[in-house]
Amino acid sequence: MTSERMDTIWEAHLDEATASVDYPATPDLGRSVLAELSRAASPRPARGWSPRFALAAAIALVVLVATIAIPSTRTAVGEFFGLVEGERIEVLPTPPPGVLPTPLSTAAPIASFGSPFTLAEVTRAIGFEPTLPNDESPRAVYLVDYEGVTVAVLQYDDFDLWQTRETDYGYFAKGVPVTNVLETPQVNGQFGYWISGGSYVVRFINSDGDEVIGSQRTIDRNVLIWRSASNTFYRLETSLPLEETVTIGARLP
Amino acid sequence: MDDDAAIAAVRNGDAEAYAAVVERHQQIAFRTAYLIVRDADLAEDVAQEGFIRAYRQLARFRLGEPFRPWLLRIVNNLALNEVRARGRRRGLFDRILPTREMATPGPAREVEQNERQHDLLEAIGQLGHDDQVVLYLRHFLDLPEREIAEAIGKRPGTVKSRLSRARQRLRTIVEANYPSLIPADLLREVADD
Repeated sequence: MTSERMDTIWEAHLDEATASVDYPATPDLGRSVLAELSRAASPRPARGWSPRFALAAAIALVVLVATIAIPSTRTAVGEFFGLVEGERIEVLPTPPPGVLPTPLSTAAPIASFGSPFTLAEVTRAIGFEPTLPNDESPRAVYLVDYEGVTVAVLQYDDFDLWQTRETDYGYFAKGVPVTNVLETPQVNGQFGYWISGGSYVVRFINSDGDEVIGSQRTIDRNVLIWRSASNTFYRLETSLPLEETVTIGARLP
Repeated sequence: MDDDAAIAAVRNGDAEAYAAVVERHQQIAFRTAYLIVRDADLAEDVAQEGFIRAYRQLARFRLGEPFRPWLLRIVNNLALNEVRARGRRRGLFDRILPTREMATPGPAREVEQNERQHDLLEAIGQLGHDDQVVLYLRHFLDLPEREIAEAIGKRPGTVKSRLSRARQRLRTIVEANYPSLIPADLLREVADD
């Protein structure tokens, strides 16, 4: 018997076997979807925020107010809040005259917080095949875990490419000094963030609004962040300039 | 009102017109989510969230293109995120419907059918997520390959080869662990070989 014929029989069998699956009754979603959209459009009722989340929100508000008072960063703040799902950027206020900003810790290599794996292992862990930006295999592949939110990091000579589809359960929060350059380039038609011009801090905040312990680190390279049309969250960390980085990003679906 | 007309109306400010779109696609959205998350309540949440996200991204939707695969891409990703985030990898089938325990007692043939469904879903659950999704879309939900391609963001040629590999891997699992699922004509053909 040819393999093709066996495949045909198996395919037909699957068609037959799956035709009579019993599904639960489909709920009427029309009303609930419209109600939810309408609720989202109207002012939100008071919520029982956790004390830590309320504190974080209050700090963010103070930062926002302080930053808006600085004309040079006003536009940046307006543009940078909530542009990419899974990413939030706070522009840090300028310290008062005579006060030096707290120095940032040294940027740590990925091997100090991620675990090396093979590409196949990473594929199994994140549930999809990581996209390669070119024909070259990455020099190394890492997994970084933020309380169950798993991110693949492909390391190349010129850049590290982060990717995940799990940012529904938290987000990356960045504290960026006003001296950094913040831009919003497009990658394949999707808006993203480009951060350059100096070091800054990133933390991962879980869905309860709490910082994931051990997630804070300093970044000292340029970063391009965007979410693709296929709902993959990408982050390219590199010393390359913006144009070259966008060109690399544009190769990713 | 077809999808394009409804979406155009929504873009012009008639949010209520979206109800027609939801009603038309809610069954496939819910079933897609259900097959992936294997829990009716969770599938309802995922499908609802899928429609809400699609609504918020309607400005990006190109009129004239089919809405269904575009929606299913969102639902697929949400459902897979849900599964992964909850650490529910493979082999978690205690909430599959119908399960052996939950199946309503009935004629012997019906019980046997329920068991076969259970085993088949269990076998598919041992595949990688990408394999599972293409099998659900093609065999359970009967989507044509071009719509599957749109729903998973791949080219139609890739879908064809991915489906073929997924079926092959499923057959290997079935032959090793669920021999009762092997169709009789396939057994006969092998025996004749």
